[in-house]
Amino acid sequence: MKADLFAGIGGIFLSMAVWIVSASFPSFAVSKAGPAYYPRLVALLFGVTCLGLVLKALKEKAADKPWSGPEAERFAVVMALLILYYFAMDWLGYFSATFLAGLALALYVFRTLSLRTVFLSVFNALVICGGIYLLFQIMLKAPLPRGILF
Amino acid sequence: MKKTTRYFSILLIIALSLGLVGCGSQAAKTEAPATATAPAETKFPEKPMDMIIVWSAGGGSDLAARLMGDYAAKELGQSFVYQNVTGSNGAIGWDQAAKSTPDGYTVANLTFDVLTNQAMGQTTTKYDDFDLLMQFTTQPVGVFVPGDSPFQSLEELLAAAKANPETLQMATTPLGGFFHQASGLLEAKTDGSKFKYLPFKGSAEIIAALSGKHVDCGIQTLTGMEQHVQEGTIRILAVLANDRNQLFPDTPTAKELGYDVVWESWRGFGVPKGTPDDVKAKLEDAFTKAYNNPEFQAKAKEAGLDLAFRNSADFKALLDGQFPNVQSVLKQLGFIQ
Amino acid sequence: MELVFQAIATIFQPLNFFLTLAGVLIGTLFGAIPGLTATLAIALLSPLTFNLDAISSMLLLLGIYAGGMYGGSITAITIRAPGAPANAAVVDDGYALTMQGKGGLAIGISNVAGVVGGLMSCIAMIFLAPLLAKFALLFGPAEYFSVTIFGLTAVFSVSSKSFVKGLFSALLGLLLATVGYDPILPFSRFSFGVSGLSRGLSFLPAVIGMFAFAEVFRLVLEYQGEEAKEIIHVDRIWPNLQEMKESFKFMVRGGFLGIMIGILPGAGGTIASYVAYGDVQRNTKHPELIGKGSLEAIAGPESANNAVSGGAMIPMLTLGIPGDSVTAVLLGAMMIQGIQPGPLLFKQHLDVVYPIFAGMILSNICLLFVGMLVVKPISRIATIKKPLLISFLMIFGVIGSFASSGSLFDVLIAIGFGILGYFMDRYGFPIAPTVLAMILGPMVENSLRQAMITSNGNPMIFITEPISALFLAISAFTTIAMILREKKQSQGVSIQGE
Repeated sequence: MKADLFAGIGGIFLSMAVWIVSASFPSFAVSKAGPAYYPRLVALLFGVTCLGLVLKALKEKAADKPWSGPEAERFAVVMALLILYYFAMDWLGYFSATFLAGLALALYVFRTLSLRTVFLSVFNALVICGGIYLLFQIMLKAPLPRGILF
Repeated sequence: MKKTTRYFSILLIIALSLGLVGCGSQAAKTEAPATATAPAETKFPEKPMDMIIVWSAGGGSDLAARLMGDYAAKELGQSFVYQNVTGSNGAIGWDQAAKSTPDGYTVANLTFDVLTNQAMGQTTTKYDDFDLLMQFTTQPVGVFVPGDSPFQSLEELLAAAKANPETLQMATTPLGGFFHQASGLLEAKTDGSKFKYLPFKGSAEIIAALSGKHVDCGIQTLTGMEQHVQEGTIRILAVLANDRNQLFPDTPTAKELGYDVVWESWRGFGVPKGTPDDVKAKLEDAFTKAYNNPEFQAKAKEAGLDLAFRNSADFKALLDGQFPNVQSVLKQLGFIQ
Repeated sequence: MELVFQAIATIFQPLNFFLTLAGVLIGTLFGAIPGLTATLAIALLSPLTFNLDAISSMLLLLGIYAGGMYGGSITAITIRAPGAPANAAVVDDGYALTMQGKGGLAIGISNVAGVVGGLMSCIAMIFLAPLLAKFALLFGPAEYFSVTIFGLTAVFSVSSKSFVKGLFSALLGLLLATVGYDPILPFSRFSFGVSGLSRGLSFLPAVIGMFAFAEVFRLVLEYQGEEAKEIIHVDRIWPNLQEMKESFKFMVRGGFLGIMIGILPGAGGTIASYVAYGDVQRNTKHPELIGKGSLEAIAGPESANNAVSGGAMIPMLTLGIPGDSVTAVLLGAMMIQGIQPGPLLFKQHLDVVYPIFAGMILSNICLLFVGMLVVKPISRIATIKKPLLISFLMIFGVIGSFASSGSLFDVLIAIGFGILGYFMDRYGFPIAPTVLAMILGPMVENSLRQAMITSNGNPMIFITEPISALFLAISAFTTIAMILREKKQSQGVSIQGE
């Protein structure tokens, strides 16, 4: 399988990277095994496992589930939305960012913009936002991100 | 549509049940909210203040800070919003606190580790970046051994560590931290004694290792140890403080035994440097009053906190005195050049 | 004896009874919502209990503990997104049952199993606490290392069909867990000067990402419109006699496993539920149903993870050593209330101990009530309009990862793990071993290095210490059995193919 092959090769590179980066870790007089000892041990085992994965993948002929066009598009959109949500929270603050992100995702998934879906999405986003605000900020006194808006 | 209604009713149940608990704990409150009584030369505080706690929510330091904070907030007539900004031995939270606007609306909970972080050079934040308000607890430490250990005194333990260096296992928290520093000082006072350090995550793990005899000795805060000592599973050899401790009145201090090792951990509060003097004065005043509140004193005793008060000037003097020692012991242990 | 009656009277005081019930409800809901956990609920609520007396606040927190362990299974069963890693073991069977229209029954079984496991662990706690506490003290560094290895093999042997892929997932988790502070030395690894990374990839955002965000991706990608599938019609909730008889055996077995694993500090519910799952897999009379909707495979793990709560309370109460993250927070809450857990608690403060015992039993009974109350409406979560459910999942994932550390950077970490989790799941790499490895990673490293310090660098210590050797032997057998099973299956497939 192609995916296994890629995962295996990627894993081997990751192990090598760990090995190289950890070479510059300092050593401490008080401890014989330094900070690099354990990551290198795990990286070694991981590298060997990845090699096994690559060998196994080369023998197998079965094909992966292919990505259809809409799937790839949806994946990209959701990923972008999550990252935008993250930045919006820092900039706008919890409430407005969460409301907008929740609304946008629901509408995107609904796809049809009827009065009903819009109403449901807005109501849903408002209830969740308000609920979390009540729960964290007011009852549990755990602060939520603040920004230029609410 | 019906299904959707159900969904919203579930959301409502969530909100409601939390509301009920909120009320439940509110209802149990007996004291009425105090009004600010301090002189009115400054309007501070006009809104809730932030307190940055660098240890995780629900832990010992967190609960101690919140307890003190709640009583201080009452004096100020406002409340604290507690933020647990954890990670990197506190460096991340202190960094954030030191860089926040110095208007008194951000108070940092400080602990001994701020000195260690600075000495290690792991952070650009220094304890000098804070104007100190007050210290409210101290955590004296002692040297402990398993109940059936052959060592009956600190001298015997240190002599054995000298005769066979790096064979006796000493339980500590991660190397370079407060407990390791205390032990390093002990080594320094007995030239030639050396322990083999077994670092554990925290006090609970150290207690387990001592009672399970997985180590030969350990350095631990005294609070919470008296049960294990009474039970006989763990014995205390010495206290690393200036005076004997009320929990263990029969246990000598290391000083009495001829080893000049006093290593004290503490908790206190500070604000970012540059906070106006009148605001600082008001905060210090409020924290001091809260500290002297008998109700706080009773609660803190119940919680097993070792209360110890230092005002801003004495607190600063303590840190100024401790910091060079932290540096020198870390140098001796080989962490810094 | 008088103290026992007093304790019972105490917990039935209206405020106390109400707090226990509310605790169970909050715990169930926090447990159920992916992104929020019982640990978070207890950590956030314990400062608010300053104004309650010691016993009332303990009852509230114990209620949350009991509810939280169960709550996570609800979302695992209905929408494939377990509320906590400890509930990940029931995802396959639970979701399969939901698709067959038996989601309500699955949640019902999970509820009964939780109560059975919880009550068993209460009984163990009451009668065997001092004895079991001694057992926990036998564990030193070498033993802890072997237990973590045992836990990891237990998880990947049941969650993965392929040995190499399971190992890949587990080692990837261990590798990712090394980012951040060295557990022993003052040095931050692989942080490249980013302050958010220097605190490490904490496991909570990783859990949220791999469970909640990966599910968001999956739901969006698979969404076919509202009318496409109308499979769910909710039937009965409570199991019939036959089902109960078959599952009960595994509830009891799961309960025992949960207690034993719970006593070992640090091990926790995830290992217990996977070990119990493996136990069901080996001993069921209907092996063909495993992974495709077996009620027994829900009963065992769910009983085990609730039994962990009582097991973990034992070292916490008798030694002052918490057995998992929840009891660690509980310990802090008790100390702030002036209760000092430790060997003397049972000798001097039975007036505190008995109400705690009574409260734990009451929490489990409340759990049954709350179950009856919420199972029916909650089993219909699966019928909610997907777009709304998806945005709910996303928001709670983001808020949960923020709330645990107070840092927005953790949200970014959770998103990263969401993408990783989706890809792993899509291409047949099990997620659970990665998650558990992230949780256990620091403990694996710490105990390994401690053991090596103790033995002066001689790895034989893991074999010369009998308990450690035992756990390593079990791990080795599990692994070999898994490899043999895989060989047999692949041969079977190729014979069929010809």
